[in-house]
Amino acid sequence: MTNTIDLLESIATDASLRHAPAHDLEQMLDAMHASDALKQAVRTGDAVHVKIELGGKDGSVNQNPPPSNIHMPPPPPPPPPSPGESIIS
Amino acid sequence: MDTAQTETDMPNPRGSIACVGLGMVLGSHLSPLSRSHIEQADVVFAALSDGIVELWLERMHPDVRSLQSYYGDGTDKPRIDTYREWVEVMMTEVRAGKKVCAVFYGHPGVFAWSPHEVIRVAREEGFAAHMEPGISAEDCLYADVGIDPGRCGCQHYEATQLLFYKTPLNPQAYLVLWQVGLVGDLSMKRFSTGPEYRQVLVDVLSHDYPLDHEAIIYRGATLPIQQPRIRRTTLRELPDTDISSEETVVLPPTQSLTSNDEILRRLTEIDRAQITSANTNGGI
Repeated sequence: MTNTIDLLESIATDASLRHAPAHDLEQMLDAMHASDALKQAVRTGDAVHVKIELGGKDGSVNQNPPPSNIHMPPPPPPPPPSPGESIIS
Repeated sequence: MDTAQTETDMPNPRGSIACVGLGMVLGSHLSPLSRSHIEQADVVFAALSDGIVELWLERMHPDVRSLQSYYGDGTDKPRIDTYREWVEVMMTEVRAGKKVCAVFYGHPGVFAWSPHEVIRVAREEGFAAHMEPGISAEDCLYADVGIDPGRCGCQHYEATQLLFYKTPLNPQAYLVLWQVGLVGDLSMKRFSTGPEYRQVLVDVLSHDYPLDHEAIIYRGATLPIQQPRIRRTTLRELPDTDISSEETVVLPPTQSLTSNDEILRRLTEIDRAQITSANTNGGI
């Protein structure tokens, strides 16, 4: 079985593979002795199969959003005093 | 003659940091120069979009340290604390004299606070610091959705900015809203917000856009076996549409460009004056 990361890198750098129809890519991967997980990911379009194969390691933005600009909103104004409540504490 | 230098004779190694972009798609977008920064570093820090991408990065360097764990469990830690910790952990290695490479997905300087900050701090302390651009989500959006920002203009906002601040919009240009999936998060701790928050965003946008205006929801690919996902809905439907944190919302222009006749006349007069001047000089 060919290493899945190697195959992903091969697909990423080969225009005919990167933009091949899923069915054609799956056949090519079969000839390259790709893992069942990678072929299933190509067939279904769901990368979760590959993530499971590679140890389920997940540092994706699905759980951890990307670093964002830091917006510091002004503090919300204090709530208005309810009737009968002194504004002086 | 003995030319060997003792350790005390050697100049202290000076630390440095390079913040590089890995691009969006594993293997497709990394520039040769960014790869070189990674391979020549003493220590590599990584803030990436996908755990598989992190595994790929680990093949380029034996000491890749993920920054993901600093987020905690994502329930009660303000993200600004995480980003400050990232800067500190990177600077610790720079101060120790290491050649540090910090790898971020996409472009390290776009919608990313830590890379800019660590470069600022490093330079302030006298260390060499550099940013190497990468292919960003914005770049992919132009290609996948088919938008040319030069055609009628394009404005980008982190979606929450439109809620926290009174922000004038230009309905003659494209509007690209980032991180709509967590719009309106006052706590700066959450990684997603619900339909009620998106409704507030829609209410703000409705001042400039009709509710039946098209809204394009875009997610780029991060693995080379994926394709971009492009969904089309309306502004009205946005609150009830599931939008993840990595998806981007695009509103096409709602108004045509309006010609500025006064300025056009002025430019025509300048053209005429230059032609007259050229003819006069050429006629001598």
